[in-house]
Amino acid sequence: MTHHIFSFEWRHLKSSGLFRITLLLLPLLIGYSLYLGNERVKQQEDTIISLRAAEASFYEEKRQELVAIEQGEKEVKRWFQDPANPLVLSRFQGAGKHVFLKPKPLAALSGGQLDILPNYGRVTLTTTEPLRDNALENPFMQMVGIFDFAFVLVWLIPLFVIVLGYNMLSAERELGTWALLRSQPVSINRILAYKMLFRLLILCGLVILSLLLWSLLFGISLLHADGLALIGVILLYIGFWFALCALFNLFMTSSAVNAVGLAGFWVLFLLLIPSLISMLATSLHPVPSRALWITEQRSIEQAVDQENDALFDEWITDHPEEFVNENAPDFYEVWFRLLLVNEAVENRLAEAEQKFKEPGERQTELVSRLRPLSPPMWVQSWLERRAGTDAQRLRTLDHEMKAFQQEWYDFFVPRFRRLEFLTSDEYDLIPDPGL
Amino acid sequence: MVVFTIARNEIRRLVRDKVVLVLGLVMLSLLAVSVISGAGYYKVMAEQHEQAQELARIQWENQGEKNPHSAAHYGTFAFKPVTVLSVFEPGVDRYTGVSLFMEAHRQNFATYSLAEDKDASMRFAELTPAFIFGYLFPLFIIFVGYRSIAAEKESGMYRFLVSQGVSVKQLITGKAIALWGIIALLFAPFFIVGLSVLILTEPAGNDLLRFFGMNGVWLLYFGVMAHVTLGVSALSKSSGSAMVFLLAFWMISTLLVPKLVTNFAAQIHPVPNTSELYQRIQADLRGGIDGHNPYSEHSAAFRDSVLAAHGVEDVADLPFNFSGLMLQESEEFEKKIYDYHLAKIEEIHQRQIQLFAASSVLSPTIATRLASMTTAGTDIHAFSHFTQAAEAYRIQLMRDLNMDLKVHAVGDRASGYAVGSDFFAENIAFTYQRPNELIISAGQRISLLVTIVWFMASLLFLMIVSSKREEL
Amino acid sequence: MLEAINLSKTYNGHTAVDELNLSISGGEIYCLLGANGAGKTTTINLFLNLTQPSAGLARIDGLSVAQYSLETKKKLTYIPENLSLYPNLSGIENLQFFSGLSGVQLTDDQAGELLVEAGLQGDAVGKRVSGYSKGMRQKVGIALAIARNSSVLLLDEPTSGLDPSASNDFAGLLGDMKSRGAAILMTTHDLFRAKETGTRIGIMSNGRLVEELNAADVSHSDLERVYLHHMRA
Repeated sequence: MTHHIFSFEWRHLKSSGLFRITLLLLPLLIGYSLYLGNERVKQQEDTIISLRAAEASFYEEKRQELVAIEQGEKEVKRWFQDPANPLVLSRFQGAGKHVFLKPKPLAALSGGQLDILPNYGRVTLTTTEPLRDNALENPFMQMVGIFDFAFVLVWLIPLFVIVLGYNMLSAERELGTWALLRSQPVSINRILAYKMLFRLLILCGLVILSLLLWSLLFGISLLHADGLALIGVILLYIGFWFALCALFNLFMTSSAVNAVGLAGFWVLFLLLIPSLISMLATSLHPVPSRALWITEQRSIEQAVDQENDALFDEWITDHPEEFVNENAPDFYEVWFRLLLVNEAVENRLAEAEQKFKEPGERQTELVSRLRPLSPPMWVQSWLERRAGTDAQRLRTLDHEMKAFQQEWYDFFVPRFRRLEFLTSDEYDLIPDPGL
Repeated sequence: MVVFTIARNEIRRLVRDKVVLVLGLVMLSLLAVSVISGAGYYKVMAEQHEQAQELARIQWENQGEKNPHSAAHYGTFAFKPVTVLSVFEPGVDRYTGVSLFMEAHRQNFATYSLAEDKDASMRFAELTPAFIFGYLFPLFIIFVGYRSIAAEKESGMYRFLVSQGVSVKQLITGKAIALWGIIALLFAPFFIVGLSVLILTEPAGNDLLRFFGMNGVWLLYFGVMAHVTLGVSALSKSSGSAMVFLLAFWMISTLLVPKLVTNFAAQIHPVPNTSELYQRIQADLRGGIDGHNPYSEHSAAFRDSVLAAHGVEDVADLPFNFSGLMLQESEEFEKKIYDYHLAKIEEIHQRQIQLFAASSVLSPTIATRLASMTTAGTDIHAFSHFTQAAEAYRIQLMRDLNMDLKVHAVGDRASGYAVGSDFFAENIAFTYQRPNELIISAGQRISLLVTIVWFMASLLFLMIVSSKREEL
Repeated sequence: MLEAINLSKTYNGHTAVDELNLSISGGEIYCLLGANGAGKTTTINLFLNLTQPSAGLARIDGLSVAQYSLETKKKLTYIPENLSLYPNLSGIENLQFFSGLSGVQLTDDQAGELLVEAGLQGDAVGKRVSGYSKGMRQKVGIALAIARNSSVLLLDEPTSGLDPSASNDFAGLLGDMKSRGAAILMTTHDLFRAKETGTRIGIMSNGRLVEELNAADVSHSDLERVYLHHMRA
């Protein structure tokens, strides 16, 4: 019986123009989104590889130079070119390391906020520079957003579900075949349930199969917990929209009412609720303009700069043993002071920046509480989190960079303060953020 | 007049339709909320930017005694102006940086866009009139109009009316007037509230003209949607199929084409990444004077030529400060290199937007969005206008600083030469003037034209439909 | 065999069918006459178990319809007033679909032969139903009855809207079904067709069976007189 109804339902679908368009368009859209996603991830990985390679070759060059110097084959010309000097290895041109937020296994499926927020950064003794590959991109692109699988899933697939499901039963009533079906020796509920089930299976099958085949083609692995969870979420999401279609159909409304009503729900969940949530977040927790932050930053720098002497004196009094008084080279005190000032500035900036970061965090908190109101928002956010491209993860970059900077600082600054230069053997001890 | 009877009857029917009434009220409340919340936010932003710009100037003037070139390195900031029109059409405003650091030797990019700090839910949809008019309002028009002719056919009323001597042209014209009437009914309150907000916030320059232009663009867009809706309704066999077709049109125009084309454009006209760009700039900079390295080949050659021209042996014998001259010379050289490379990026952006504008043949939404951003002055061209003004200011400030060094740091004053707040207070201040013209780039004209073409084409489509179906 | 025993149906205080007693055996065509709203369609719906009786029993081949809904449906074929089929499928495909629902799987050839047997033109059977006339669609219904070997046929106003020649064709088909031993219940407004086709004629008024006649025993004019008499009462 199942087979019988399915095979005839298939004939119905086959002869429907809308279904044929879906059959053609949906796999193509999924394919293109995965292609773009795969390219994006490849670029991220290339960046990681090339930057890591550049770091490695910088330190290897310095090490060889130092070996040559240690063996007396070479001489140090100027202090700022000395490969044993901690400042040269931690702060000067070419020194420093990159911290990466590596793409997660599902990264190809969701670009998330990667077009707005940096996903790696360069750390030196005194600077943390957040970076992203597409920083020079046209802001117009950001306004429109990334075309990724998440977009196809969250925005377009519901429309295809609606197109294939809005008149599942109402068409049967409007055609009049309903009357004949009811006189059959099979319960009408069973027939209708099979008919709906078939459409659901076709839709799920089409999406999952396209996803799997294109992933296989582009070499995106889905054979892990997140991949399986993704398939679960896709099924749930399609199921949600399909259930909505079924509800409309079961309430004996006409096809036209179903179409309008379902389109209304789509607008409600995808446009209206998100825009209201976003407006609520913006007006409850307004983010102050960074223009103020820029000027504040500058006043902090100026203020600390004026305390330069006081800072230095205080430090010397507290740690007299850690300051080399005798035979110190010229650059020693200059850089000693500079690092002190920098440290003080950083501490105060971190404090002051809180009021610019906090509203954003509050917004995120509020939005995550309201998100269940809109299943599409939930799916989008789930996929972004699993892809590691959500704003919350990307905003941890700052923290990661600062954490690594501390490690870097703890390795180099004490050596600098004691004027202990590195030997070529000690190069292996230089901290690395790893991957 | 038959036409007006039909129109009056249709408006009466629509106004009595509870669903239409509720949806209309929802539209109006959304518009009201978006304008009010947007205006509040604008006020705060405008104040903060003004405050920041003043502060930046005070910091510049009170940077302490120093060599003019140190001051050039200290630099100053230009903050992106906020326009009240962004309440209605924010354009790319959320995605462009708010501050531009202006310093010696280099041109920087604007940093800190609002999007970086806000929650990502904004990217689903942001409640602004531009969003409501671009996405929701067309759906409303489709909903109000998809049945207007198809349902008359289904109920047999169409045949009846035609048999009464009503021509199809009269029928469609009447329905069109009715649909425009409903649109006007919703648009008028928005327009009045919007205009009041604009006038209350003291519009600057040509803001009023821009406001009218922007509203004109939207009306054209509604016209396209209304005409297409009626035409499709007249051509469809059933109201159901009219609905499905119109929804598909909406989806393609507002969602699919914009996303596909931008990502496609980024793919075929890729921008270099930041480190690539700086590597290229660095490579080119090595080919010219380095103001900080008198030993470089180009600097030495320049020095020799200056010495030769003045017939002296040593820079100290020159009647002016040589490093002031050399710094200015290198500044101009560096500017040339930066201008060249940034222009290339700009060109890539332009190509992307051209492709985007070209795709508006498939999507009236794209054409309208570009045109409304243009008229509101919140598009990428308006942003470039600001960055260019900032750059012009920067280069002028650098010239003033270098010239001071060149002219005054001579003789015994040369060593340890410093200037103080008196001097800095006299430096030119950055004030940004929005362009007087609505259109500042050829690319903008295209989107406006395409919007008008879409409108004319939709009108033509409706006229063809109404003259074609005379016999039934 | 179709039986109604004291069958009644009341909707919100309105009695649609009132203590109907009816028995139609195989090889009989029972024509139910009556004005609109007399209870004819409700009677058919009661036999289809599309509505539950308020009292009494509807039985098909001795099985209670209300109790054995699916089993009794296996024995019958129902042809509604306007038999709607799937317009995007051919006659053959429609027949295959509906016969399949009662477990009769037909090959394309078998289905085609059945349709021809039911009176469709050989070149029409493979065409889409969207081009079929009402008479042609009803022939698909008859083919379905043949395919399923139904012992009972329920026909709701089958000849309304048919042109005289199609109506005549259809009467011929019913005659064939009768000779196969089917019990046929058909509602109609067409006195002429009832007299010509039916073996027995019942007249319903306000839910009650007010007259039962043998078709062979009455003339056309008598039938009309009796009918009008009941309608005016």
